[in-house]
Order: sequence, then structure tokens, then C-alpha cells
Amino acid sequence: MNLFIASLAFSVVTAATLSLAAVAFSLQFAVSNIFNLAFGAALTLSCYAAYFFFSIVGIEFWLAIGLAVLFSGLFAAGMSAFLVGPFIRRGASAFVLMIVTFSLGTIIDYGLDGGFRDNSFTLPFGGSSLAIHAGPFELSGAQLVVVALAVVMTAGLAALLHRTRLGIAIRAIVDNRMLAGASGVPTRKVTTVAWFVTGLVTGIAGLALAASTSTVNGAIGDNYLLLIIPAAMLGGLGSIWGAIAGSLVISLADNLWGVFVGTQYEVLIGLLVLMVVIMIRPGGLAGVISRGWGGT
Amino acid sequence: MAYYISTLLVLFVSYAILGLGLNVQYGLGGVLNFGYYLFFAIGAYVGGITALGSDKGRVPALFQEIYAWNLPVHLPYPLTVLSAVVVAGVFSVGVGLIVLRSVRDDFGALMTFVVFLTMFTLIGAYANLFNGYIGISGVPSPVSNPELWYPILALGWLAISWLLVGAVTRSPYGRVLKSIRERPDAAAALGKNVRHYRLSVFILGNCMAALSGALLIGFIGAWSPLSWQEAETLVVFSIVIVGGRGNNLGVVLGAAVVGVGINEAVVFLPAVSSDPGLIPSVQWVLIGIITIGFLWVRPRGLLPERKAKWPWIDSKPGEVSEGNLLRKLRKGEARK
Repeated sequence: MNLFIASLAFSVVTAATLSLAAVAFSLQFAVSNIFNLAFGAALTLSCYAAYFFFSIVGIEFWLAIGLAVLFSGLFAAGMSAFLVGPFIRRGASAFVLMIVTFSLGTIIDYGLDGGFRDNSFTLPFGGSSLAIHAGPFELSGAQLVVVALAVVMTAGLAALLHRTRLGIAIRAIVDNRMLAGASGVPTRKVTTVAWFVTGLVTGIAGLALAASTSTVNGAIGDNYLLLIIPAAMLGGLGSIWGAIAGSLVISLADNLWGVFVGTQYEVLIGLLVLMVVIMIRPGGLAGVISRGWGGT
Repeated sequence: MAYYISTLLVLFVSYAILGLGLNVQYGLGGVLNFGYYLFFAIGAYVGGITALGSDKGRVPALFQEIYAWNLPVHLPYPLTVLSAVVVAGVFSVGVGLIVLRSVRDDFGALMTFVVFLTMFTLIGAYANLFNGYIGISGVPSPVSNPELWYPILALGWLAISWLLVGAVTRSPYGRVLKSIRERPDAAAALGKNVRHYRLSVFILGNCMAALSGALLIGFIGAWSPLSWQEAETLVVFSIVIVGGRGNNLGVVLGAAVVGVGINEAVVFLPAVSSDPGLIPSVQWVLIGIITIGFLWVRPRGLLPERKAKWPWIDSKPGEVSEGNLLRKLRKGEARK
């Protein structure tokens, strides 16, 4: 039983990082109606950006982290404004946009691979001295920071989406882009800003991921997609709370599998969950997606 | 030099068959499959393992214990390729039945991506499936003088694939596929079972990928997860998009331009001795840029898909017939 409680607590920690990533992936889909297959590469990119600012330029660590997050936001905004947006306006199909983002992901992955000589590095987050013990389990300082960060970020995002004019505009676009435009919402600007926000969240998720794994390498983001996509789909694309619930379920399943079945075939969890979701409840837990094309 | 040329030829044939298979799926049937390269890899593994068997003397001692398959004998040549195709086909049925159930087409495409990533990790991590990250090696060539005969053999397979794909494209079955690609709801309304057609085209394309994989491993002799990373799928997409989606000749041209041309062009870039990994990275970035560039500038590719002609509704100009009426309707003149 202790083992179960411990894995429950650990699931909350892993779900914190995962939910940030899943929320960003889900929101990007909701706003632009595309799957961003470059999402894994964007996570990796934020880690490399932090490494670049910290180790190569030589800026103070936390400032470098801040710059990396900002860079990640700007990158996502640029991707929306200069790549995804123009293709959508030209009437490219969802398939073409998936190929475009897939190509972009490959460009980023191999651009980083060729541009940086180090294939793996460590970002010195530290914080292990803060470890607390609560009952049977132990949480390190970095893990607590990540959980706190996820809570703050999610609360901030929810406040942004539900309490500000920008948030109302974003939700209007998610509901119906054409109608929002006709009602005077500057859809292009708002879409870019929405992508900027998701980019910031992506950056924080990438760095939280780097904090929880000892070394960062070029595959860190793409491997993580195996959990992000099922979490976002299980939660229901376009829903923040859905993405968080999905992340919790996936993390819990992942950890319980690890504890009770063993790490063998653990990689199959994401696919199994996705299969069940697609066959039984394609809209996910939140059920935002209607049947047929043009959901959310 | 002769070896270099035969390598290029085999590579070309392999990419051409891969491209034709993806063109059947994406170009003809409108099924987007990001896990396409997985079936190529399965073809290569199965083709390699059936050719190796576990005969003493043929298999390096290191690998003899590893194969869970432990085939008592190795198969003779065409059977290795056929078994690769059959295994990939059976696996496609399973994947396709799940993936093509999705309510939205892009969900299915996303799912193929997840299937690829999962299987990549799985095959890499579990040694007793396909020997994990080390992979298989020492696969014997089916012909005695591979430098000369293997390219010819490969071209033979390409000819068979070409005829098959051409026949499929021209057949009534191919026309149904095209209609499903353009308007799935309209095809469904006319009584065509969209899911069955898509599943069949998914299987056919993946079988061709497996054929290509089994062909390649017969020449290069070794296969490991390093050879089929997720970015490799992009090359095949690039071949189809650059060549011309839906045009078989274009795809073969794309295989020559992207698959062989860019691979070989980067070889001539000045090597940076301090960073040997730079050139392959440049190649991938280049292929990514070319794909996005073509989708923006020339989305129909070098040789665009030809508009279908229907000879039986053609007739002399001026004559009142179904054909002329259709032509006028198309031009919007019929109302005048």
C-alpha cells in the first residue's frame, strides 16, 4: 500500500511537467486546428536555448532560464505567424500542415544536432538540499518547485483565458474563428499572441523536463511526445482541465505499471491509452471535440 | 567506382518503391501515415532474419543466441522478400483497423506517429525481438556477384512494383480511391465503404514499404534502429511531395532527386573535421526545408498529377452529347 501511495505522490510530480506540455499542445491544436508535430522539437529547443545562454554566452543561470522561456515563446509566435498561419490562410489541408510541422521538427532537431557540438549536457538546477520527507515518500526541492510552478502556470492560464479580454478573444477563436473575426476580433494577432503564450508554457515544460532528467540530449522532447499526445487526447483537446486530468491519469498509469508490472513494455502505455480514447471516447474526458471535421 | 554506382542504383530502387507505396497511400487514397518507415524497417528485419536463419556458419556466433525466432533453416531468396511483405501486411491489418477508426482523419495520422514512436522504442529496447539497438548484421546477399547482379534484381522488383501501382491507379478500384481522397462523404453516399478502401490501401502501401526494406537489406546486409529514425519518414514524404503527389512517374523522379540526389550532393560538401556529425545534419535540415519550400511554392510537385481523362464521354465539338455537356458544365458555359 505504501508503494501505491508513493507512486501516487510521484505521479503528481511527473504529471506536473506533463500537464504543462499537454496544455500547450492542446491549446495550439484548439487555436489553429492543427497538430503541432514539431512540439517535441520545441521542447528540446528550449533546453538547448537555456544551455546556449548559460554555458556559451555565459549569462547568470536563472536569467538564462528566463531568456530561454522567452525565446521559446517567441519561437512559437513566429512559427504561427510565418509558417502555420500562411499555410492555413492558403487553405492547406490538415494533412499538409502536419507534414509542414513534421518537417519543421526535423529541421530543428538536426539543426540543434549540427549546431551544437555537445550531444548531451546538464542544466544545473540544483535544489536537492530542499528535499522534504512526508510519510513514506520523499520529494526533492526541484520536484516541489516544478509542482508549484505547474499550479501557478495553470492558474495563470485559466485566469488569462477566463478573466481577460485577450482570453475571451482566444476562446472565441477556438469556438469559431470566422464568427470571431466577423465580430471584430483581430484573429491573426490574437492567434499569434495565443501561440506566444503556449510557447512560454512549452519552454517552462521543456526546462522542467530537463530539471527532472539528469542529462539533456537531442531526443528528450520527441520521446516525451509519447506521453504528451495521449495525455492531451485523453483529456480532450482544447481543454486545460482535461489536459491536467489526462496527464494525471497517464502519469499514474505509467508509475503503477512501473511498480507492479515492471518497466518492461512501459512504453506501450501511451499507445494503449490513445487506442482506448480513439475507439471509445474520441472527444476525451472533457468531450470538446464533436464528431467529424472541425471540432473544438 | 562500380560498387558506388550499384549502391546508388539499389538506393534509388529502394526509395522509388518506398515512394510508390506512400504515393498509393497518401497520393491515391488520401491516408496519411507517419509510421510508414516502420513497415520498411519491419520488411528489412524480417527479410534479414529469414535470410540468416540460425544456421551455423552463416550467422555470426554473436547473434546465434539472440534471435527469438530461431528459424531452423534460412529461406531461399524470393521467399525472404515474400515473408517480409506478408509479416508487414499482417501487422498493417492490426494497425490499420485501429488507426482508421478515428473520427477525424488527422487523429488517425497522429496515431500512426505515436505507433511509430512506440514501436521504435520497443524494438530498440527489447533485444530478443530484433536484437535491440545493436540490430542484425551479416545478412547474406541472394546473388553471387552483388555488385553486378543485385542492382539488376532490384530494378526487376521496381518494374514489378511500377506495373502493380500503375494497374491499381488505372483500375476502377483506383478511381474509387481517388474519389474517396477528394470527397470521402460523397463516396460513402454512393455506397463505397470508405473504411475498407482506406484499410486496403494502407495495407498495400505498407507491403510495398516492406518489399523495399527487404530489398535494401539484401544489399547492405545490416539493419538497426539507427537506420530508421523518425526523420527517415520525412525523406519519403519529401520524395512524394517534390516528385508530385499522385503521379507515379513524378515519385520515381522524386526518388532520384531527393532520395539519391541530395544524399549524394551533401557528400561533396567540404567536411568539417572537428565536427563529423555536421554533414548528415545539414542533409536533414536541407530535406526539411525542401519539403516545406515545395509545399509552399509548388505544392503539386515537379510532375503534377494528370487530370483523369474519360475517353468514353469524349465526342466531336459542337455535337450534343454527354461529354460536351460535361465539358461545358465544367467551364461554366452551359447556362448561356
